[in-house]
Amino acid sequence: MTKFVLILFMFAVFLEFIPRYSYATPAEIKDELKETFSDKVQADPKTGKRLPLYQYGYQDREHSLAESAKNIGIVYGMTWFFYPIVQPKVFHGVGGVKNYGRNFGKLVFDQDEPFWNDFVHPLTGSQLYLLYRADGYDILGAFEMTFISSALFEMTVEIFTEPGSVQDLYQTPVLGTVLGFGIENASMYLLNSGNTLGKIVGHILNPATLLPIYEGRTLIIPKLEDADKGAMIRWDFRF
Amino acid sequence: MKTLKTITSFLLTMLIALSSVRAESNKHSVEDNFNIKAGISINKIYFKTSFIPINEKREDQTESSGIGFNTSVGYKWNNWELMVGSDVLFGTLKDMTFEVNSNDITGNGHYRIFALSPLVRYYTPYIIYNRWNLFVDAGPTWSLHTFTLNNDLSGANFSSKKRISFENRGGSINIGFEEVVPFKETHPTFFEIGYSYMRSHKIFIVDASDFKDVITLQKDNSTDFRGHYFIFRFGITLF
Repeated sequence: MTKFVLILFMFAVFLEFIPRYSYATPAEIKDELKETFSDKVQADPKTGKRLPLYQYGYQDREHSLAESAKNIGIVYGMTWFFYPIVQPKVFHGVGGVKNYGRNFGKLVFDQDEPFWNDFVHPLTGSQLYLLYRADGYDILGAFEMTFISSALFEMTVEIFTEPGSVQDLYQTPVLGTVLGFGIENASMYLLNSGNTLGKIVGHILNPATLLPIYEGRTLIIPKLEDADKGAMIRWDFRF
Repeated sequence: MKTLKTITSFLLTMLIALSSVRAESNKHSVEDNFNIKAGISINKIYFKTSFIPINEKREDQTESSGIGFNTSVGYKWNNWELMVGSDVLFGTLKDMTFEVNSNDITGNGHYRIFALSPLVRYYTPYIIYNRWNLFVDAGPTWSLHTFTLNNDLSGANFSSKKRISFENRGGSINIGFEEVVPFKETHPTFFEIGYSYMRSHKIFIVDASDFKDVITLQKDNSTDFRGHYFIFRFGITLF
């Protein structure tokens, strides 16, 4: 892991020092390269800084109750699908229907380590928040949706293995939203930096920006030809 | 159990209240609006428990400093705010003395606290330097105070993998200042000093050898732990 971080750091330093046309004004680009770069790299003639080709952001919109209920349902369904996969004991030994009945409606202070309560749950909450933000919910709307989704998971899915937890019920949406708000700002800064590495890191931090729900930059296109049925995923990257 | 049901009811009530104020939130004003705050907490705690008689001086109680973070979710009217506040605090302890088989065995350790308080806050008419509004708030508090030993105690049935947790009940009162600003987008700053008194009602001995699955070894009713918490908090309204 240390080596990987070191290599990544060296790569970032390397990228920083290699000559790049991103810092050249259009007038400074060599004549023979002007045609190549004319519609790919745009720079501010005054500052010499690269201008992003695409301005990332969030466009808040109203959601009907039915649409919100559908979104909650999709996320809830996904938790039912993925939880047994990441917690195999749900079906083997410790967990199970007996536990479910015993834990239903129970709420306790859990004894989990800070790794879970102060890192994993808030991180999960932040990604839920970013998912709803990508779908056009405003900040408060995304928080509410995160609250509902995480509460449903906590009180009706996770009880296969443990009773509902006060810490998780509060920290997943609240710390998740605080963290998500920070990630949102950091990722938007990186995505709009016009820098390739910045865009990659921005998408890694905020993967919901790669989903079709985010400004339609990713499209899932069905193919209906008899000979070649299927679907094509088209991601619109512009570096 | 009854307490936890009360917390659940309160959180659900807050959620319903949040849903109903969505239209108002579009104003983005500080008043008549919902908010999430986050910041840093610095704490000084004086506590007493026969399980941890602490140091060689045999003082009545021990004290410890620590640091952590605070968050809150609330709805603010003109002078009143209804909120749920939480602190996550971490601190270290030196020379914790355990009595094992009539022998004192000493070790160093640390603690962590999760506290949750439904609070009613009143913003007084007093504004200092035309900018800082004095407020007071109070409410009941529930917390989990967990002690860990850093080193194994030879000859004792207690190791660095085990923890002692106290589930506490008590109350909190806070006084502080919040910046007067017209819009939430300017992220008003706050700082406050809080006092909480906590008394345990349950004790848990848990085994965290497997950090993924912490096992409760022992659970009893206990009023053994008493603590006075002084917490300085500062932070901002995120949105």
